[in-house]
Amino acid sequence: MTSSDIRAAFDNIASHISNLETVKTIVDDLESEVLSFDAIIEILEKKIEDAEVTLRTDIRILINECRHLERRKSN
Amino acid sequence: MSARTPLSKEIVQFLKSKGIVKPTPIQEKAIPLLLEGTHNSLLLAPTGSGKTEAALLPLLNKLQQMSKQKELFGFYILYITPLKALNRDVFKRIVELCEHLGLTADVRHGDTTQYARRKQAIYPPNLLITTPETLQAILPGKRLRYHLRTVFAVVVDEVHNLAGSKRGTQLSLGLERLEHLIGSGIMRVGLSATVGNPKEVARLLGGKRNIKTVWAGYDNRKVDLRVEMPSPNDQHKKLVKKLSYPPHSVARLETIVDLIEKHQSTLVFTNTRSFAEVLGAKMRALSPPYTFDVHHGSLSKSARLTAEDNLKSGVSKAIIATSSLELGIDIGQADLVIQYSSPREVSRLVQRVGRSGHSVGRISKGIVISTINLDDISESGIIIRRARLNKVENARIPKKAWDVLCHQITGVLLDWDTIEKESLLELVTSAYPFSEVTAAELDTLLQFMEGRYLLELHGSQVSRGSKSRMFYYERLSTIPDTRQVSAVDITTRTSIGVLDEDYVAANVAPGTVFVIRGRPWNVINVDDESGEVMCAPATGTNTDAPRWIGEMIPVPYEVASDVAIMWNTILKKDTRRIDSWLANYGITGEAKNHLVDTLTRSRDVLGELPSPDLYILETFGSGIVLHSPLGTRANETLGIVIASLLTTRLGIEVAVERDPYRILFTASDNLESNHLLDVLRDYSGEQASHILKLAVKQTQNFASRFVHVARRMDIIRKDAKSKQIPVRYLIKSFEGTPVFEEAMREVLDEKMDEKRAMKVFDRYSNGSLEIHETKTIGPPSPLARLIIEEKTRFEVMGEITEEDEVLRMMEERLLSKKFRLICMAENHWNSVRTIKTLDEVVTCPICESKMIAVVQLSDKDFTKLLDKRLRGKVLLTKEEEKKYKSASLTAELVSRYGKTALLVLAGRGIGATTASRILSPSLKERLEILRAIAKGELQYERTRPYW
Repeated sequence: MTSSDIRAAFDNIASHISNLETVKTIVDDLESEVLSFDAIIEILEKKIEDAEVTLRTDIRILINECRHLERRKSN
Repeated sequence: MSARTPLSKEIVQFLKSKGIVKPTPIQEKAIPLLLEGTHNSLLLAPTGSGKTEAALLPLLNKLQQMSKQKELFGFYILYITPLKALNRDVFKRIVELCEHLGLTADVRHGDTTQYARRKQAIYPPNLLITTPETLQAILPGKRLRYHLRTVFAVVVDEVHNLAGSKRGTQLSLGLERLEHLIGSGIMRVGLSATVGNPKEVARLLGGKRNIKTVWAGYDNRKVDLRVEMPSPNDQHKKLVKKLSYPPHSVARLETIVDLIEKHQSTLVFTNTRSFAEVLGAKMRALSPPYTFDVHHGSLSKSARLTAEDNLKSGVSKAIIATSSLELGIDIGQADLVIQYSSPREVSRLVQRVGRSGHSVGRISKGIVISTINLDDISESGIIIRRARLNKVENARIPKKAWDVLCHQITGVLLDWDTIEKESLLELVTSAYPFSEVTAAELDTLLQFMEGRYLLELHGSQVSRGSKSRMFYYERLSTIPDTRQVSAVDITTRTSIGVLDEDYVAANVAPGTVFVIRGRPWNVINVDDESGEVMCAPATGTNTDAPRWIGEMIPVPYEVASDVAIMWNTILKKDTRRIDSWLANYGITGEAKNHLVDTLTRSRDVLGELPSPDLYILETFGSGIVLHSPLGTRANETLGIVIASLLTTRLGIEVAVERDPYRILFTASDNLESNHLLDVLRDYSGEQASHILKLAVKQTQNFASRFVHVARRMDIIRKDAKSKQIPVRYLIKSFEGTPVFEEAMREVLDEKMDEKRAMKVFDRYSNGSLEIHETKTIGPPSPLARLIIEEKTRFEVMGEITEEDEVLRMMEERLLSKKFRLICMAENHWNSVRTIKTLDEVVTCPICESKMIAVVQLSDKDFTKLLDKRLRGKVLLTKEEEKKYKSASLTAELVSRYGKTALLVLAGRGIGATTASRILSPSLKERLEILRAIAKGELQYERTRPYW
């Protein structure tokens, strides 16, 4: 997964999430690193553990969208 | 499930643990089809044949497979039902299986708590069970919209129920919006037990996509249906006074009580809520040896739930219900359904009777308890026959409903902010009800909406307006938003129920008597501010004709014409074969005898009976009846057009009443049958159609529809009170706009049958329809009397017959009244008599004078006063002169009207002067007289406080 992919995933979900600023910061951080798809998902899943309930859903939505884009790419 | 089933082993195991090893016919056909995952389908099978599982098992199977491949997050299956109560039932049926498969399911509708909603936004259930309105609410929702993107299938339960109303129209466009959001096709599955036009309903569900229709289980369905017309015996007659209920009604009541006792659990259906209450109250008075409940839409949710649970758990043996229990709400195993009076539509009977034996392999048993009324018996018989043959009415899908489209366009703009007109038209026309909308029509609507700030137009682009969001969320429901006002018992200051504001505005005034909670109430005042109706228990007047609150259920053309064909066939049949032939219609015994007897007498008077190709125009003393078996809607239409043409041509006011089989015309001036025939001959169907639209515009019905549409299209504030709305002014101002057009479409499509009525003009002109004239001297034909004596029958058949019987009871009271009768001519006869014992013409037995004064029993001294007056030597006092004049007036009335005058004078609060106002030579029909007396008594009640 490239940095542009995580940005695309974020753009797709931006209108559906509640904690826009927080998620944007997470995406900015991830974008600055070169990470594999699995690594991105792992980081995001870790962030879920300590997150407050609505942020947790926002991150799950982001994970979902990343998986969706990844599936589409591999198809 | 059988070993061959392609369902997963977890599902099969679960079903086995519940004792389910064999699929029902619909499951056998539908499961493999839906497992393929490519077919949209409409599953048609009788009530209780496992349609819900037929649709959900394969879909859950697919979802389970998906969960093995990836983590599920979002909604995957939407299950839409028309009722919140059904949502609850489906959830109960499916939740255990979902848990077994590791899937989640939840319900979401108007009553879902904020907490549960928030929870669903965070942890979306895989299967969401909801209503069409809630789908509309979540479609543009921020978080839920994301969750909707994973939906792969939508199941629409009881699709026939939605199809015939704007709810279905709205849903069809809602599904297109959903599919657009998801970006790929969703599987659409419709479920129904009763639908006459499956192809069209399939198109409503699937739009332009192919939909497979799957029928199953109708052949195996066993139904036992019959008509019963109970007649009163001596025991019933004894109960009349105790129950304050007429003898025939008591007989019906006792029959129902006995039937309930002989069965495990029974559903008694009535056609309106108020009658369900009346029946409940009368049954309670009989103290049957079991408990029962009443269930209808005006009762609180908890009361309804208690009633459902009581029956299900065996605490009660019966529920008296209205259409509130028609749909598949789980109420356990009822083994009998009783329908009080004709159900008027086949689909209604099928739905209601389907509630008994509500499981696979059981027999549905239904009995229609008919009143002593030819229409009621024959209509019930035809409906039973058509139900056995599964000939159900078509769902009338509203097309081009501008108010729905107006709302959906704002929804689209919430979905996308901006859309090209062309794309909008493409989206709109992909839904079947709007498939014929043209670019020009859409443009007109968009311009109208722009004027209301619901959107903005910039060249070819349509974008969100300042009011779009508020308008969309405030008008999610297309169910007519009738404001309700409280009826308050003035003596205890407690609420006794709710009334529709429309009903109150049109019918309720101080003095009106109406029934709620099984008893009559007298309206004392209507509060201008709050709209509250202040009432007092109508003591002493409970035998007067009450006003009933209920809406008309139209009898379809197919039923009405079949009824006429049946009448003709009966009289042509060999009398020895009638019994067995009528048994096909469930008509036997007393009902059969009454039917054959009434038809024979009608033919004797009319010479022939009406049929679909031969109408009869019967002229009688005070009007004309056109016997035209066209059904409620077509007769309504024909009646309006003919009456307005007659009024225009002759310059006289023509009043019109109709029922499904005939139209009654009455006029203040001379109205002749050839006037009617001229109208039918001189106008073409097309011209008549034009007249119809002009006439409809003036009706109260149109005004009331206009208000509803105007509320839905943002012309009238949602909370505006009916009284504050300048309806006529608004109608005039908005003529030619989509609001006006929609109100007109509603009236013409839902209340009228323009096509069929117009065909009558064309068929009469081209000779394919014959109309025979006949004049009845003396009493009108028994068929005509059905409308003349029951003018109010166009409300609801069962209840109107009740009104008739209430009047009969009042007659009994009046006939048992005693008066002192005095010969005014000679003062040589002074006798106390009960009205019942008198002949029609009342004369002095000594001198045969007809001048008989009617005075109260206590007026023993009247003869002395009369003596003084006759001798003429002593002047009478003012008081005596008044008494004398009043007695003279009664004598004059008796000489002109005979016993009828005494009947009127027996009315409570009706003196000589009022009686002289009530009595007129044109007042001949018995029920008409009784109604006039009831009105006089009501007037007295209303004005009594000022006396």
